[in-house]
Amino acid sequence: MLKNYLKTAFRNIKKYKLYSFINISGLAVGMACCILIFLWIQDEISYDRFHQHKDRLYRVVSSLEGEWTSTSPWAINDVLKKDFPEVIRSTRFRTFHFLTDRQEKSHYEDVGFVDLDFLHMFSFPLLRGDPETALSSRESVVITKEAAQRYFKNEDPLGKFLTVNNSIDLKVTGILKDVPSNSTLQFDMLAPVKLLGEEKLRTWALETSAYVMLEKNVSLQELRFKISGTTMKYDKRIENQTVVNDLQPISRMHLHGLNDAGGILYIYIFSGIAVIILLIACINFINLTTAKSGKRAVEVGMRKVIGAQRSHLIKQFFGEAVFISLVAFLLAILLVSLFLPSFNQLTQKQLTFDPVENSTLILILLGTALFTGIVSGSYPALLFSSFSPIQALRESGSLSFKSPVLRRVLVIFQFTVAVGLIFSAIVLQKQMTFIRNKDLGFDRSHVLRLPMNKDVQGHYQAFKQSLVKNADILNVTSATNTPLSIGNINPVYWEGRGPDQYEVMNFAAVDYDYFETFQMDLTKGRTFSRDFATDEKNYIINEAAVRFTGLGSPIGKLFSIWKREGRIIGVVKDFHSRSLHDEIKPVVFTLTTNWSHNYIFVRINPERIQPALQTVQSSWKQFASGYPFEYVFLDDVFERQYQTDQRMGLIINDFTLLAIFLSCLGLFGLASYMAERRTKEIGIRKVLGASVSSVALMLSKDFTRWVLIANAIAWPVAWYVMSRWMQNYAYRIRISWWMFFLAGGLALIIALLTVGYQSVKAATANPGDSLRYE
Amino acid sequence: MIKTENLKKIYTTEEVETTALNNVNLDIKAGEYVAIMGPSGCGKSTLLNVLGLIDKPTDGKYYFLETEVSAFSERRRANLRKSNIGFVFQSFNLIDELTVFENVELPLLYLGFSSSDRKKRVNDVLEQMEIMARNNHFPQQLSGGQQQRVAVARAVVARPKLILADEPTGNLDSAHGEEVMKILGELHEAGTTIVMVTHSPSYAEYANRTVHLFDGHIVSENIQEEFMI
Repeated sequence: MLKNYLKTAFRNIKKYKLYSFINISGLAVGMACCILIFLWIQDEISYDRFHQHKDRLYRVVSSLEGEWTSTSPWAINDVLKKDFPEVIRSTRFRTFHFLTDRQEKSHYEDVGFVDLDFLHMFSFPLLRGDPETALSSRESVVITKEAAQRYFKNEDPLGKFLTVNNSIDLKVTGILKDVPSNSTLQFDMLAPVKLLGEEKLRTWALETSAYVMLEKNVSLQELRFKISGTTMKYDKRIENQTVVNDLQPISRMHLHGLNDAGGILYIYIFSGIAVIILLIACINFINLTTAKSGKRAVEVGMRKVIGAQRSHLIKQFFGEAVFISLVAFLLAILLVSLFLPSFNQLTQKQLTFDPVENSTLILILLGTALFTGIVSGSYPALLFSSFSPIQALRESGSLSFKSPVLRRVLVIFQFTVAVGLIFSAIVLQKQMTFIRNKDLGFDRSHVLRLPMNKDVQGHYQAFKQSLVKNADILNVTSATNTPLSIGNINPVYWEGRGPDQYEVMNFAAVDYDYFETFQMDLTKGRTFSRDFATDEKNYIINEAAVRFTGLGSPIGKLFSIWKREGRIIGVVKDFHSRSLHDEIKPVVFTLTTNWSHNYIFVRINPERIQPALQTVQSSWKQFASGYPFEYVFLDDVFERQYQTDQRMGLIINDFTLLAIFLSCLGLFGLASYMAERRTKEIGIRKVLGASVSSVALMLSKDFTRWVLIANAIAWPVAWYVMSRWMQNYAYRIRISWWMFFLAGGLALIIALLTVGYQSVKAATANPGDSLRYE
Repeated sequence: MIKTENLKKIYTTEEVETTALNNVNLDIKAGEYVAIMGPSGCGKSTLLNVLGLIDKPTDGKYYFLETEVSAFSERRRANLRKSNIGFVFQSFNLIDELTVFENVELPLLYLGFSSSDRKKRVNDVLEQMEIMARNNHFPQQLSGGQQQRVAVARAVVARPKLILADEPTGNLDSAHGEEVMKILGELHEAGTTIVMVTHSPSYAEYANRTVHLFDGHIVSENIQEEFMI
């Protein structure tokens, strides 16, 4: 019997080539999308789960006045370990981008400074060396296999030395397996944290990240409660602030933001898209299969007359759907292998498709194929098997009339999704353009960012002088932050407030000429100036800070960070100190002249970029010969801030196109079926004098109506979803009416083009042929 | 074998009720060959469908093989059909996607015959119908007469006690029509009960009894003279 079913299925596929092509290719594309998205999701949720002790590892996080941060004080580790027996291991982890040398080879490496416990807590296995002793000596370093290749090629690295940051020689004591890409902790080398100085490690400056490993079977709730006041207890600088310490499971670090939803949002969005695309493909299958049910009616009727039970027929048609979905599935696997490289490029990942290695993948794949088969086969199976035998035999041509309501609903659903997706794509696109062109309150174009290092720091003044005397260089400054991202928070006080009336504010330490370099406007007062010896104690705040403090005339008012008292000398016009996701926050600038800043900024003449770069490079060689010349344009840094948004936008665009393509494929099949079914009617109408255009119009009318209904449903839903989405951006475009019409119009045009071809083909056919067809 | 008491069939659409069968009382003994005649729309096919258990009567009683079956579920009726009744239709109703062999084999598949038994039975009946040479062809590749012989082969392959033929010659020219009638005659001689709907008085003469239907009633029954005892 199975053979008989298979034969029937196979011959039906062969006989109705267009339908079969649409069904199989549609399902294959849908499944391929699901598989790709699944691989992406699988990779995203695999982050930090490869550690053997993952269930006992936590990141220490802190909140300062309700705002959570993952940076921790240096001193917290020792205290946690000492005070709480539940904490059995702990480590700090702070990376620096350090120049590393050996003989002629020099590269910038991410050096992670960690405690001895690090190698026992995390599963970063040593290929060579002993985890017990590898980092016990102060001047030791363990390096990844990849880094070892860079410096040692065929030599044995163990026992050899690397010069780090042009200042210290570290002995290689171990080789680590390369750090997996799905690790939040990324580094090329690990060195003992005590290298940074015992003094520093006793401070409560929020400058590192900290991790702990807990005893087995610890009551987490209780421990979280107990450790919450640790900073408050030990940090002597704190008097009246509220700092809360907490623990975050490491498996949540990648996807769960501390202050917002984080990456998990994308997991939900993409899961949704995968399901929608598969549903669209299933709907095509249901529509086309039921539409041509009339053609199977004789078979159904006859099988029943001969004695088939309803269950036989349900089994047969389910089987057929599952069979088709398995064929589609094989095709989908082919498609995935074909498109994985471009998908990797799109997502910036190195996903691999290896069902043999990846057992979850096999289950998901088979599940997808079965799910697709069952969903798409269920309605046809139930419908076909419900035909009464006489009805089936007698009305073989018109049985498909039985399901127009459902079919209408399904097509409308498809177009609702298409309109919604087009609309979302338009809004995202507009928002991205808006961000790119938004006036940020400072000028980021033609500004170079160079890393500050020991050499330049020592000769900063001379370096700056050598640059500014060149006409191609417009300004030079240095600072802890670019105006693009000022995130450090500190407690501040101002005139008229008591010692317990502090607030937290973002701050940046800058050199002279900072505001000039970034062409930021001052609305009141002046910028930092060499003419005033006391300026190192003074402050410049932004307008948001003026509003925040309520200081009517701020110039000359007392102000302090951590009780370091000075005066406000200037007010800078509001600018976007963070990404446009956030509102403009109060910011305060201080002047520091020990140049312990992170970056040097150079504004160059836009007309003479190449000569200016050469000037900077030659000065760099003169003052920082130990370091390679590396720079980035601030514009690129800015773009990177929205890289995730942009990449997600691209992916959503691509999947939108796919969803629309699949919907059209189904529509095309349906239209061709309807034209075929009405061939006789068209012939008669034409014999009676109907024109080509009136026939084409008649055939397109239904589809037009369906697309219009789809618009009516999609608009409010899409508006709601996108409004919610836009709330992620403090600065956003307004959703305007033309976007709805554009989305709806596009959907309608696409639908009419799809249907139009079939309609015109049917309408221009020779009426004699149309009538003979029946 | 077949007995109906006051059999009624009413079709209801939104506006009208149509009485297709009205108090039909019919008794057919095993081994009989009955022709049903009457004008279009008199209820011939409806009667055949009810007798063949592919349609339910609205009212009345229907005894098939001594069992009252009018209220049987579709499931039980399907079971009765597959082992007892063979159908031949005017429009052949062969499945286009199956070959001659596979079409004929189908009833045996639903009856659960083994592969070797199926092969033997199908080959035998195809020999008997003289279409063995065509067993790998698809229905569209055959003439009307050949198609109807395949349909008859399919109806008899499971050796049913009863064959119901709904205008089996309606789509055939006279030569092919004669051929099919000859085959039905041979089956009857071999002991099969046959009920046939026909328009043609000359084909009705093959039967040993003719039932005339008009407006859902049986208006007359006559037994062919040669069959009178």
